Amino acid sequence: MNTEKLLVVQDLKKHFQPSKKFLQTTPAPVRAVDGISFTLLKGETLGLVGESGCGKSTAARTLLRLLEPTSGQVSFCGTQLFDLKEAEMRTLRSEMQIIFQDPYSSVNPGRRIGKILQEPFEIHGFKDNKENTEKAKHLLKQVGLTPGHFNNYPHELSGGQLQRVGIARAIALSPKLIVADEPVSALDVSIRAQVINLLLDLKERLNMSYLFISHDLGVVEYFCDRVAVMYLGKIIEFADNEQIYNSPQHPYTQALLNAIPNLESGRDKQKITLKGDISMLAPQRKGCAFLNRCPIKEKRCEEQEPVLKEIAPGHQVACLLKS
Amino acid sequence: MPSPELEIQNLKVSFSTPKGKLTAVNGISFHINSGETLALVGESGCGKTVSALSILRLLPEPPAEIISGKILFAGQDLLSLSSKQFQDLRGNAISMIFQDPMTSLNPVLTVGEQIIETLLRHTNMNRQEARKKSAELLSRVELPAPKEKLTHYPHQLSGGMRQRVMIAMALACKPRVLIADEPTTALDVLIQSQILDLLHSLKKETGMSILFITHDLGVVAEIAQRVIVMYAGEIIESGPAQALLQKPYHPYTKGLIASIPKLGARDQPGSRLEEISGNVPSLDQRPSGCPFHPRCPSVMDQCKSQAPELSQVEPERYTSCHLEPESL
Repeated sequence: MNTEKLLVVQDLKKHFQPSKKFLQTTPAPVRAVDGISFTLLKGETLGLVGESGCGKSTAARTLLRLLEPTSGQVSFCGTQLFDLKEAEMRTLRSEMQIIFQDPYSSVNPGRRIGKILQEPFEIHGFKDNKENTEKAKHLLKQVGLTPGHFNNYPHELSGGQLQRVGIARAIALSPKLIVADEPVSALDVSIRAQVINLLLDLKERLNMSYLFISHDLGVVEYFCDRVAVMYLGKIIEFADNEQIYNSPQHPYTQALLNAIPNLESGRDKQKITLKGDISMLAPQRKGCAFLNRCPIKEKRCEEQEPVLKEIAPGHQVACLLKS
Repeated sequence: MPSPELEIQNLKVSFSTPKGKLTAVNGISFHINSGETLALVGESGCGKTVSALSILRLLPEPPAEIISGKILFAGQDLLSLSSKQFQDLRGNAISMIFQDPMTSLNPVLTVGEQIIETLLRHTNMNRQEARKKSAELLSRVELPAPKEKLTHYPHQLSGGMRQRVMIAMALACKPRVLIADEPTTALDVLIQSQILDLLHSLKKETGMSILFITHDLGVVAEIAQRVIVMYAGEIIESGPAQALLQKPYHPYTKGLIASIPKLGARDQPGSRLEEISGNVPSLDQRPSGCPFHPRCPSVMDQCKSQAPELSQVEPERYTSCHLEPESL
């Protein structure tokens, strides 16, 4: 494995300030992303896993500067992203692309597929129309569509085909980094397998790095070299693929793995289902963020906030009881 | 022999579109036994939701049209009821929960109002009693602080909580049949697991039957006793859940099962999932013969011209495929 660092994220924070209501004190900010750090190597795939509302999508958008960060540093190929001006950032965007969850809402419904795929080239200064058309047709082939789709409108394609268009658009400018935000969650089972395989093929062919965001640990296992599990804006476990699946340490990671429906065992197996969900938790100042839902909590968890600690080479966990 | 609670016979539904009359459900027959959970499995566009909506007569007619078929419930054919008679039944003896709880709840009414409305319509309760009952229902679906939640609007609740409200509303009048249309698809794995647990215990308690519509075979293994697999408007395989998932007969069912990422199944980094090539056919491009033949790995000449019929291969197991049962 290449050890060249592509993306270094340091203590990234994104807080949202809810608006103040009449005659009320200013509410506390929502700490969607609350200090996450990680490094993505060249050619590597990192999975970012967690429930809805844990901040994984916000993290992705903030590090691409689609949202302005509250604090922190992101360095991409050695460039500090948050120091760049708008125009400089726009040029660099050709190197980092994003694939969204819902293929229908991420393309312009009034444009033909061909036009959608030519647009990245036009924006980044390739003015030769004929050449752009050729490139767009080549892209269609690369993602398993046919040049016949060139003149179609988005509504004429199925969800799976349209997600392929989204992927084609993302790889158009040969980016170094692709952020895939739940790229297969909205797709049917048989189509999901096709798209996962396509992403794996492209990764090998084009030597890209992926930041793969998902709530489905089953999909992530197929896809990722390393996995970061997020909870309430923080990374609570970070490890290699095998470590996460063979020896998950954090009780939250264990619960996530446990919740995956299993074809073989069905209902018979003993399941520990976590109670509650993320949004019903009041923000607490002290102690472990997972406290309210934790099945193994102890007294000291109420007092002290755990930080990520290495418990084995490459395996970090933020739990007082495990480190 | 368990008695069927609900029986669907030869149901055929079509839609009038600019492209002509398209058949969404092509003559399917099945039944749900009392106290049973039956899973209806298939991908988008296979007709599973249309089948469910036609049981409750919730399809907009036109463009939809129920061309033929019978839906038997408690001794009468639901399709022969007047819409007035049907209103007494819907949400009462048969009720439904939907995939997206945000769009199926009324955003401008409080949760309490919406549950009370159901109770007032179908029972003799007065408003006060209905309010008390609503709080009970919310606590039954394990919503924390149920009394307080009655005054909340849907947007103040999370996806999982909204789905619990939907379930509470559907259960308000103790239905005999609950139709659940992808109730966990929009939810996270953890919340999905909670909702499945809840449905499981509610079923045990009330003895109702559940028609569970899903595209996720993992969920089927968790909740259903029997499974029906649909493709392009037709039933292509059915049988007891455990047996069907362990030994599927139809090539499509086999493909579906193989394409699910299974934990621990990845031998080495870079290994691939098995996939079914091609796309689900759209209604106006229905293939001739067996609807699955363009995607089928073991297609024969016969499949292209002649549609197979659903036939029994072993007790309780049915499949529609031209291949000899031994080679399936």
